[in-house]
Amino acid sequence: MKCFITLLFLFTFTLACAFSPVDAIGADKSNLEQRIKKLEKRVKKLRKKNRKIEKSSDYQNKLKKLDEKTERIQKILEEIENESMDDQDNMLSDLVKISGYADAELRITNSKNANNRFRMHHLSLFFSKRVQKKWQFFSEIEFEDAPVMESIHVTDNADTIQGKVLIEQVYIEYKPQLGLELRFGRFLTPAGIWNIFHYYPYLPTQTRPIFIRKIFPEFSDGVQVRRAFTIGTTMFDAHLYMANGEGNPGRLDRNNEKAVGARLNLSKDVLDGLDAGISYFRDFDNNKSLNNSYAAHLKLNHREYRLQSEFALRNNSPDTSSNFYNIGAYVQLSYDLKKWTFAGRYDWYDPNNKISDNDQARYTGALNYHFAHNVIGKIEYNVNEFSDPLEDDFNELITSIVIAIGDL
Amino acid sequence: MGLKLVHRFIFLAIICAVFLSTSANGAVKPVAVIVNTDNPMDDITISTLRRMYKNDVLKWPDGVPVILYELDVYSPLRATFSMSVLGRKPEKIAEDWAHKKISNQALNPPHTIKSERLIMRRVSMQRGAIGYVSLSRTKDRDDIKVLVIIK
Repeated sequence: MKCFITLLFLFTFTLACAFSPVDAIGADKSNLEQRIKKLEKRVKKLRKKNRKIEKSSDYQNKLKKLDEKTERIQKILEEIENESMDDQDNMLSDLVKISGYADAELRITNSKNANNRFRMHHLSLFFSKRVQKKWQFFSEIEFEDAPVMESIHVTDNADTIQGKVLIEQVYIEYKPQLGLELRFGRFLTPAGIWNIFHYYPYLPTQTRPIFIRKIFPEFSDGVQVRRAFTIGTTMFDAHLYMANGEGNPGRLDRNNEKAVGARLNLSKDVLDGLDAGISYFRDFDNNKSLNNSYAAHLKLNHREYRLQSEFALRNNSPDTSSNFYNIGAYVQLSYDLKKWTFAGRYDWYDPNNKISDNDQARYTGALNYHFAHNVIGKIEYNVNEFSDPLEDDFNELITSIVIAIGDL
Repeated sequence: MGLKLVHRFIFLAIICAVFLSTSANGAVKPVAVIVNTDNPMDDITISTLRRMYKNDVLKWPDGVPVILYELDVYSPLRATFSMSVLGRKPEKIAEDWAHKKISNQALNPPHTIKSERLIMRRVSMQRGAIGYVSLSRTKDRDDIKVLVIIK
């Protein structure tokens, strides 16, 4: 009997096991079918609703308005994009670009002719405006030593007027094509490197080589043509100009002669960039001296090193005395290490080769720290030596902070 | 004992240096130099690219003026491009351009744009344009042409 009951239990259990899952799956399936049917009904209802909405004029109007708005936004975006691209292509812009730099110094010297002093050395402002696609206005106004100018004079003594206001550059530029520029007005005399590239945020030192501005004039009033072109793998950048000549800026030209000059620079892809060139300037000055100036320059970049050197001489032919030369040169090496720049320079100047013992030499060491790419702290130490025994040698320590205000 | 400590220190220093160098390298993304699809050039040497970005080349071989685009000075991609192509840090290159611009001697300076997307858009619209973006951004783009990849 026990055996029979056990068998019956086993049989029932087996049947239950065999059939119960099938029943569960079947139940799930029917549930799913019901849910699908419900969902299908809801979809049908939604479709009907959607058709009604689509047919309604209100919806159509809203859709049209939305399309119109989208089109307008797209047009505005295209206009903005085109305007910004025009500007990028150096086309007409509504804005005058303003840029510049300023530097403040502390000069400590053992020279008998100068005292230790703070100096608000430069404030230079550049204004540039592309007035038409091919026409541009460019100017540089320099305020040196924070000039004081008063309508009511505190003193009548002209010697007490401080500082200098100088229009260093002001010209109208015509640029008919890339690599061809015509400039009318006052421009930096294109000679060598320093005469053009002399802006203190981008130089390691605060003093310029002694001969700069003594052989070629700082700026010239006249007309200049610049042409840049490539031959093979060499880039040629040429400046040709005619001007009033040295000592004749402003309203008057004190002699009938006109000065002419030229500069040619070659750029080659040697190491990390090689620039080399020559410059020439011919001027019959106000003292009736015919002066022919010649210069050669070299700049070589290699990794973090930069070598820069210039040599210049002027053959002076005065009307009443014999010819003489004034000659100058410098070599400068700088090295960038992260935010630091180290630089050393030797420069030398002989104002008259016919007179012995009048040479001047200067040894300069400089250390720069770039707080940011446009804020630089500088320390410079220079040793000045004179071959003239009557001139006292002196040393100078210059600390300065220099900022660049934009970069055009 | 002292010598062992020195050896351990040197070993650790080497490990750190290797780790730092590899981690720095790992962050570098491949850079794609792109041009307009109408540009007839299909490739470019690093030397020509360098000369172009230094303004030693102003026109394409077919006479079309070159329009240079570059990323912001603090962009890691620009750092890769600058070190690989120009051999100097972007800040130094930017200083050179600033000096040329302030002297009004810059012939054809690069246009700095912060967005890679906008560089691609401009290159796709201007025949003489050249720029650089992340290589990954150039996939499935038929409106620009990749001239060279810098890794």
